[in-house]
Amino acid sequence: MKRKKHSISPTRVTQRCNKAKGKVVDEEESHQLCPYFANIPSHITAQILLQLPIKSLIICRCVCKMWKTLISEPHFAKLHFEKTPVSLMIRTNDHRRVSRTLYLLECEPEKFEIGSDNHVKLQPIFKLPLRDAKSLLHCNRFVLDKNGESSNSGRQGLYSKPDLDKFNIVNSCNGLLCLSDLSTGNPLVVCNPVTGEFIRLPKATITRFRLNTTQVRKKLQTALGFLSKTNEYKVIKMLIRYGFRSNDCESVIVEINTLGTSLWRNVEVDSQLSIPRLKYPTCVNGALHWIGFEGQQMSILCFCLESERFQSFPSPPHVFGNHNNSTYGNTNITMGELKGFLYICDSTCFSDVTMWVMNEYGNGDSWTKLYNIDTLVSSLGRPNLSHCGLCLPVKHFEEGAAVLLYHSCNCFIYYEPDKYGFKVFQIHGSRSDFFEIIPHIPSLISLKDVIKGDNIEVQNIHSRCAKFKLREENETLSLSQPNDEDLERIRRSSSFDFEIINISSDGDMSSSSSDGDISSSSSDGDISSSSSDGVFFYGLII
Amino acid sequence: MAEEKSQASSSKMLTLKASDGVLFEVELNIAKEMKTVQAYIDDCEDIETIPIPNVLGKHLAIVIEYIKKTNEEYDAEFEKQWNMDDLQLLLLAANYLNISGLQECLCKAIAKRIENKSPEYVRKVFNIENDHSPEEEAKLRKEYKWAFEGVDKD
Repeated sequence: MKRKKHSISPTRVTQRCNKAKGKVVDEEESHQLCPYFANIPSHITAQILLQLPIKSLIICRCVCKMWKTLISEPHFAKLHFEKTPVSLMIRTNDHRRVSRTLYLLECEPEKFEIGSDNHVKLQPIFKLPLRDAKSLLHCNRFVLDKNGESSNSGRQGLYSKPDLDKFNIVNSCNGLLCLSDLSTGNPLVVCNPVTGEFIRLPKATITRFRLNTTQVRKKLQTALGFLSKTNEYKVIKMLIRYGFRSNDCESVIVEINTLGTSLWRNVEVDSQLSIPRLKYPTCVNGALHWIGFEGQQMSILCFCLESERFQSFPSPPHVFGNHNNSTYGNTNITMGELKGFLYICDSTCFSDVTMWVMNEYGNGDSWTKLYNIDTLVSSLGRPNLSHCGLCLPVKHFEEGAAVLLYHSCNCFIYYEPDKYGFKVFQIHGSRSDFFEIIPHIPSLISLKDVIKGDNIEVQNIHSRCAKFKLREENETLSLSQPNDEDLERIRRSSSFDFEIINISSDGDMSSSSSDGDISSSSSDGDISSSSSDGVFFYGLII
Repeated sequence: MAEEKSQASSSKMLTLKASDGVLFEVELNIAKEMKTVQAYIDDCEDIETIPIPNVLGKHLAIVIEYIKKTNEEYDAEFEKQWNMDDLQLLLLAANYLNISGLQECLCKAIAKRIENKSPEYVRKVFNIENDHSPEEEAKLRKEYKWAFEGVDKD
């Protein structure tokens, strides 16, 4: 980094000024001193840069070479990552689309104060890699010129094939995303959407997986985890075989891959181990956790990444206990992580959403109920539970605690009880009504610094498929605040109306009785289109 | 500038001398917040006047007031009063005097002022010359096109 030509060191300036003028340096002269700021120690520059959000950091890489090096340093990326709050990646949820675009939604309440006439563009925007760029290009060869750019006729974008090009996002762990095959669940790629880097996971080495599929039902469960002790990422793959006639798990093969290595290693499991239907993979404290659903029974499955073994884990007794024996089949429990704490959210009864946190990792007694949310949410009516009604933690309780609720197709509620109360906002601009929300902490940590070994090539979407535009990518998403009319429409499209609570713009609530009017759900206004439950993870954590 | 009167009758007073010769009389516990000064005191116990050669009187006064008053509300209002030049000099002062709280506050303030601004603006603020080649810069801008959209006007 070069100083501009006429900059001078401070002591010389002071002396010169004092000698020349013989008086105390005043406002004007201190302006002359600022040129020497170019000489600030790099650790101070780093301190300033650490305070910037990702978008600004990326702009700052352009400032000069020294800054680019500073920002690209693994240590800097790690420090910055530790300070970054949880954000949400939003992806359109539509089976007709490849949906490789991720929109970052930063959960800052000031951002949600938009006004109903304003639309704030949703940024930043990241792209996932394409599964098979070669074949995509081949299919589109008539709309690309010899440079691979879209010719005039292809200006609208390339045709894509969702069933072949689309990835399922399994989970986000420590700044990376794990992507899998949509139909089989086979984990394929791990990527950092911010830097654009990705690596392809090694192909399955075991032929046992190719079973006689007509006889046996099998399912693949996968998740990405991080072990901070050794700074390793690991991907776990469970092949669960179901009995011919029963719905119970008959046997399971577990394999694990340390990111950067080229083999899947077999994991020893207890032959008696039975794996239920798993959801919400969450990595906390060097272990992966899932909520297991076995009929009406719920439990937490835990896999320790260090010992590479399954172990038992205490579940919140009150939450699971209440549902375990109920005949009311519609439970809606999600699990997530925030700042190293495990959270469970029970939004079965949407008028009374509760959130639990495990204060002391591993200690079953430390499951503590954080709060109930029962006001604004019920005023918007009961959301369609197959797609919505989920809760996400976005701010740790020590920092004031905040929650994000995904209520109906594109309606979100941000709730920070201490400072802001409720803020409702919507996402516009997409022809697809539904969104998939993935809690994610954007990170500049390069994959090259975390993978072990040189066997695996780190690729980058910027060198390949970022420049191609798919047809579906001609839209931009934006945020807006719903006005009263919109709120009314949301209420009407919900299944039931509870006691209507009026919300004025500053979150004040006055209640008016609903005089027994329970409007039935109008099926044409009903927002539950075909749901592909179980394929997508709606993370909502509180 | 003004001399501070000691509040507690029994607390020891210390004199700090800024680079432009201005003197400040401060209580020992205030001075100790500046770790550089603390180190000085540890080295020579009976010292009465400590020279602060890198900091102007104007800025030393601001630093001392910060130490006395600091709390969350004060911090929030504090950074709004100063222009960029003062902020930068205060940051260097805080770094030299080793006052971590003030340093953090100022870093946040400066970061806020360069947030979402163009590289040209940031270069002007920090007085940095662009040593990227045009091709390099073009490549960086192209790779993360979205980051350069919606940037605040300078």
